[in-house]
Amino acid sequence: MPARRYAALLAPDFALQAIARLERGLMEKPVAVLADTSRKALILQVSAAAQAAGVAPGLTATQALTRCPDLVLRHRHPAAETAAQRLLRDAAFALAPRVEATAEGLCTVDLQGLPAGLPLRRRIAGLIERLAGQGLHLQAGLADHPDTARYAALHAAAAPDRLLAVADTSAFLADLPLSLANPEPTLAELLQRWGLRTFGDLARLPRAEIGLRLGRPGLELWDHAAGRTRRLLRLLAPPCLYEELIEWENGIETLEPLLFILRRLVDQLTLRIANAHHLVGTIRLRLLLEDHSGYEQRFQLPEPTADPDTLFRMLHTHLESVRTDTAVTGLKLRFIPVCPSARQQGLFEADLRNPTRFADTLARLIGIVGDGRVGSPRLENTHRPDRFTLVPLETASALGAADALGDSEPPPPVGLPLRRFRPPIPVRVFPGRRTLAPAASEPPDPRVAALDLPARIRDWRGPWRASGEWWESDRRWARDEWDVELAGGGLYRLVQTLPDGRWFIEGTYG
Amino acid sequence: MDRHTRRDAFARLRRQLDARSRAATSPVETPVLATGIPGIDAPLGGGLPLGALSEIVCGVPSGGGQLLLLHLLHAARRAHRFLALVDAADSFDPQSVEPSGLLRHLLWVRCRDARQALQAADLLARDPNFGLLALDLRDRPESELRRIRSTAWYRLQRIVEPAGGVLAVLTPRRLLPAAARARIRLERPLPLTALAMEQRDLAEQLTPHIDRAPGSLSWSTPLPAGAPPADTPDYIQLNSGTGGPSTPAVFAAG
Repeated sequence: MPARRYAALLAPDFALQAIARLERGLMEKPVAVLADTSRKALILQVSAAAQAAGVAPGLTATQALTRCPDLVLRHRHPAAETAAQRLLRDAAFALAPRVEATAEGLCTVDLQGLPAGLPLRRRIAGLIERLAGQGLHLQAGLADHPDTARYAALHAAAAPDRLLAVADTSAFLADLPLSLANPEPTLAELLQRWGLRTFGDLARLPRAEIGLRLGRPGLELWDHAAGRTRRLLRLLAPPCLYEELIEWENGIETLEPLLFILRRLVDQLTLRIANAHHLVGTIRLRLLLEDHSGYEQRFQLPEPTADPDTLFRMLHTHLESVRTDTAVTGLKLRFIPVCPSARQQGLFEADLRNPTRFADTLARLIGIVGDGRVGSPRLENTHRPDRFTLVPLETASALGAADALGDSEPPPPVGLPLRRFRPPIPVRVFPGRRTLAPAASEPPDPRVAALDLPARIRDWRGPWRASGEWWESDRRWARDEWDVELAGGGLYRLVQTLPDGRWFIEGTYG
Repeated sequence: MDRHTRRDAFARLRRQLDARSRAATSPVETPVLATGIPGIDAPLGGGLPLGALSEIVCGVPSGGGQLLLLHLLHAARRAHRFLALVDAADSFDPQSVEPSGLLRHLLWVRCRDARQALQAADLLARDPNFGLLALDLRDRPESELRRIRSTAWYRLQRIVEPAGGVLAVLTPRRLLPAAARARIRLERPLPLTALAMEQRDLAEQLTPHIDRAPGSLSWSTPLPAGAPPADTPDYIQLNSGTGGPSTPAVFAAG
């Protein structure tokens, strides 16, 4: 038996399936997709329910509605088809790196070079099952020629696992209609008049005689019918941009339908990223609104992951708190990949109790408080106050950090820790009267009331001068700091910025 | 059912209720997390109780609440765990932590309001990877704090209890209802001279007031086994106020 060197992945009724992925429950109804938006557009594809009602491709909309008054008509959705095609293409790349986007809803994969013992049928069946879970139903064919594989995929609907492997090419092609090869109209008519209907009919005739009578087109058709086509695949380069955009006419005002679409996009993008052996490091979410404005949010994942459930939960948690002035008319989602870091845990380091839950919790926290507000703080290498960055928790290294600090307790620090006011509270200082008073602000700063200003300064220490980056004209800074105790109790850091001389309460000690 | 049968049934019911209430309030040994502050650890039987909420009421400025938070970070480091700090007012200062290597044990959640803080605390309390959780509600407006329902605290208590973690809630005033197993009040503002003292000495000087500690609940004397009291009625009259038999266990805060 010759090795099956090509696989074809086909999504039948591709335009219809692309739309159905966005509308839950559509395929249960009688649905028809129109070929274009003209007044006399013809039916392109129909669902099984529509077919049962007598609607067939080639009818006009009026004719179709006459046969099935409950028929749901849809126009083609280019963005949905693009998304579905990407999904199909990425599934093909999961099989092998040499992929051809043969047609809409059809990809051909060159399997040559794959390891001999690879469980190909199981892999393809698994792909078909996974994509079915995302609303794209495939059929697959395996053969030793790309076109034969395509024909096998066309006839795989009733095959086990929807996968048809061709053992004998000649026998398989023999009964296929010549129209499948799409011959030129004149050639097709001629063959029809000669009584040649199937590939087998044509292949039984001598090749040389066909060439003499029909020329090159005839020879090509004969090779096709005999399964001897030698063509190179037009190979695709793997995509690097993981982004999906979906827009719709009727604005969405509630969360549930938006989440349905979001889940599709998340599943799609994570499958693509996982197939490339990457993880999701950053997410950009954009909601397109009816008034042509947008809502955008960026999420930096503390723990890169390709788990769609974790990513969806994070986005879901965030969207629960989002309010927009107008309805949502589109959704754009971009995943920025990172390579998974190979990190060997120490033999004696403590493990997390539940690493999967850990990543999930962190992702959902970001959904609540927003990007850049969850993490482990690290001080920046500067004397400028309140400078730090938030980094992902270093699980294994952090839990082993006691080794870095030593078994003995570190030397005791001096003084009280500061609780910062972000932003600092502007005040006025009257040195003669040793009084702090609130600075005028519109609207009034609500924190001033908690400080019970104006207040008398009972005692103070300082000033201490701090400055930095004097060599940068636009970044230099300088300030004087005092530690003050107010008459009513409480220790505060009082700051005067230089050279503008403004006063602030930066925080409270304790 | 005749009079004697009813009396027997009533006595059995009272004994069952009493046995269960004693089991719920008996002073079992509570595992604790030592904070390293003697004024807190000693009255609480060693530290903050595990599997429970503890409220630290910071009613005065510079009362030592932030110092306590740093000690919790040290406790996390000693236990090789993380401290998750849910900061409702985004007031934590990483530059105040010495040595800075301690920050590796800290997960800081910078919230914008009390609602976000409670959502984040709920999420973290459910995660078994975070055994030490601090929720800092200081400096939030009173209007936000009043909107926190008491049921939220009971829910947090129910989440924390089976997991055995510590949830320390720092509040500007008494906020938690009976859900808090321990309540500590920091009532004395520290003087300016404290800024020149070692934190170890400052910790020893902290003398908070302990409003509530684990195991400080009392119960009534159990009914003796055997024949029911002679004055056992045929029925229980609720809220009678006077007369009648002794009521089942009454719980009083210590």
